[in-house]
Amino acid sequence: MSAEKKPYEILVAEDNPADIGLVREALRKYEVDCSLNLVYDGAQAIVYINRLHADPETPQLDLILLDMQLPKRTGAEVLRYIRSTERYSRIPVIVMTGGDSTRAGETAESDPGVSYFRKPCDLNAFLELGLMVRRILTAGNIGAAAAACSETNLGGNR
Amino acid sequence: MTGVDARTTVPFSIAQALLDDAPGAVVFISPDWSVAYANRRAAELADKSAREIAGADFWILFSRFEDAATKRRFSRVLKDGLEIEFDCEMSPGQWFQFRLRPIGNGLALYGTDVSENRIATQSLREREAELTDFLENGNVALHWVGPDGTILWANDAELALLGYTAEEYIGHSVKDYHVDPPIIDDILYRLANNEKLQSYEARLRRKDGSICHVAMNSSVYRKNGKFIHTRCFTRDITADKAYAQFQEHLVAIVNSSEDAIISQDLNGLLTSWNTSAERMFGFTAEEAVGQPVATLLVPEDRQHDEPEILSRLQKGEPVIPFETKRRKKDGTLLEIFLTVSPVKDSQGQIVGLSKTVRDITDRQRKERASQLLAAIVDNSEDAIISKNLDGVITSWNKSAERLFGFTGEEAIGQSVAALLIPDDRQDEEREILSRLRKGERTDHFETKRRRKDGALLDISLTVSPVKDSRNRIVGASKIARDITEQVRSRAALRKANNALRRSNADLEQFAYSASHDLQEPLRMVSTYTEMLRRKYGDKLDSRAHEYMDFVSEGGSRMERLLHDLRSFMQVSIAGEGRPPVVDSRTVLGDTLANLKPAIDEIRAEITSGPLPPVAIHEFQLGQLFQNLIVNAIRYRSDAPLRVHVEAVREGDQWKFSVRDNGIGIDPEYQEQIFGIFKRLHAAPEYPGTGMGLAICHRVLERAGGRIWVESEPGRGSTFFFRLPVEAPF
Repeated sequence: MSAEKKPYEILVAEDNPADIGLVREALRKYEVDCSLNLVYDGAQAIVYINRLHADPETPQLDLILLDMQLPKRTGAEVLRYIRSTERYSRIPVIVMTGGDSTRAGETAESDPGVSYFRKPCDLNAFLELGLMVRRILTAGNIGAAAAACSETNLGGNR
Repeated sequence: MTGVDARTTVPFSIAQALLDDAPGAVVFISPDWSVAYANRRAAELADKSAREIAGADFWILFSRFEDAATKRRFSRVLKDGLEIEFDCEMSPGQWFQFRLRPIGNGLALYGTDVSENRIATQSLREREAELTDFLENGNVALHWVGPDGTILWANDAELALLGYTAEEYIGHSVKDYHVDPPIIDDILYRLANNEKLQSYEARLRRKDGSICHVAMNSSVYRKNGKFIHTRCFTRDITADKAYAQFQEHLVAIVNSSEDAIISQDLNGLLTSWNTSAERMFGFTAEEAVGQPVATLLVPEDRQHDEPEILSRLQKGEPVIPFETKRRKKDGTLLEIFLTVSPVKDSQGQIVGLSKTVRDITDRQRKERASQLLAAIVDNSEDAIISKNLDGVITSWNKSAERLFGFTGEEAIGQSVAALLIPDDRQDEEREILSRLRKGERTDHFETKRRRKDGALLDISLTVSPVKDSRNRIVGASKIARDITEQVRSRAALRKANNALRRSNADLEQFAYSASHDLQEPLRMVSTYTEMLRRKYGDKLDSRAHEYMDFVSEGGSRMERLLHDLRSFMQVSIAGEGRPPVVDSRTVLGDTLANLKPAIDEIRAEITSGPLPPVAIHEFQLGQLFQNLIVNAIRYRSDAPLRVHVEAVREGDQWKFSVRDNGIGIDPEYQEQIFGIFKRLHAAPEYPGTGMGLAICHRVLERAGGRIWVESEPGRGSTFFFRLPVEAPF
């Protein structure tokens, strides 16, 4: 947090390359300086986090963008695993859902570190994801991130 | 004698001869009581010869007179010179009437034999006394009444009849003793006019207050044409009256009997005929009495009845009451029940017979009807069984035999529970019996019963109480229908239905998932078309832009379709289970809040009346309001849109209405608008998916209500829907 130049480390767990493209576009639009670590299914996501956990020398993750409908292991399983680790039990997570809030909501309603983003059909609305990410990262604490989330989430719904 | 001169001196000897011939006794008595002369009759009386008498002492000769009293009377005649007459019984039965008178200085005694007179007088006296006794003491009540109505005399019988003493009765006005005093005036008037009353009936009051019915015979005793008194014989007819009344009652009883009661003599001639006989047979008593019963009433094929009855009675055998037929006056035949009894005279001789005839035509008809019923019961496809309140079988029809395999002999008298009911259902019978005792029916109760061969049957059982004529429950009729086949097919149907429901649920699930999953590729189409337009828009010509517009439009239209399709599916998914009661006012408020941008945009005025709580899932009611209001917004006219929502109570339902002033709906299409994907307008003019009203329709289908529209094109539409006040199950 001291070095301004240091880019944020973000893990993106998403199987759809088109959605990865849109996430990239959104982060670019809101000038989030980051390096994206990409995994394409739930199993890979768990392996990646496990490896980070095992090796303290690897860079610290700042945020996880987690798609719910991942192959092999679901987003919910991945989220449960993340929260079970000592290192990432409080990391901000943005859960991305396919437009069905009822399915997404069942996972971790009470977790204040989790924000929800429903993937919209409208491009502008999708690009709002960039703003949401920036607010969470710059807020620097989890409570503020949660507040930023809900605000962003509401905007995304309209 | 006329020729004899009285002065002619008759010689004593001639006088003596004449005196001797006289029928009477003549005695001359000297003052010294010696007999100077006695004629032959006198000598006979003294039982002496004439010579012995002359000069003899009178008292010795006629010792019959020698008692002190007679001697004194004789002496007085001699002394006073007054003659006396007296009767004396000279010997038993021989009575003489004597006259003693002074003659010269002596006495002359003339005696005439009055024995015969004496007897005549005696019997006259006796008769008079007897008559008096008869009048006084005879058993006929008698009295005399003077012309003024005073009782002059009454005999003991009369007094005894009424209970008064002579003092209490005689000398009083006869009116005091009559219950109907005016009668006396009538009686006296008639008698005064020389009428003789015969059995004139009157009512007298006895001393004890009771009433004595009497019949009087009365006439007037007149002397020189003058009314002296009545002579009234009073006969007590109280008993006769009572008997007459008894007779009247008997006649009334006979006449009021529902049965015809007739009598006939031994020749078969009718001797009496009561009112019911008149009614039953149509002949009046005049027409019937005296007629032979055989020709009047007995049909050809029953002619043997009468001689048989007679011969039995004459042999002293009883006639057992029997059923037969008789003919009415109009020729129709009656079914009758005949009771015959002999009529005997006081010596016990049979002099005729009486018949009691009961018309059983109706009863026979009922019997035939009940036979018909029995036949129907026997031929019924259902087993029809009756049992008493202890559950013991009392009847068993043919179908029961066929169904359960037991014959009537095997079943009747057995307990239903033991014979038919499987062990695990014994409680049922107790329940059924206890309901029966309370008079309750058991209708179409489905259960299982055991056949004789042990196989179990599915049956539908209807048990109804059977009541006797006094409305007491005495048992039950059970109708058992074999529904084994029905139960089997119903199970098959249920299975098929379940399969169908499952596949339907699968389909819904599939459609729901599809509407979700289709959204993902659609999102790619939409977002990347937009990305394309943004990043490469300046490199594309106008035609490419037009194509991209089509792609975008298609995408957003598809998005709406998928959204509505999802809502449609959600109606059933979110509507499972018993609906809660929700406040429709709140739900409408939420819906209007959701639609606020659209409502504000067109400045629609949306109002509502009081809205009640209703039993429906909130999501479903929200869908109803949302789609109906969106519909109103979408199909508004040029005028500013006004929508009014209200609800009125109709029985156990609420009727909601959503009224707008939009373009309205042609009556031709008012039904089909509720179909899925049905649209009446071209897409550019009025955008819509054709799902909104289909969703509404589905909601009402699920909630147990109904939706319909009333509309006039150009003047707006009112959508109505009904919802139950309470949850339907």
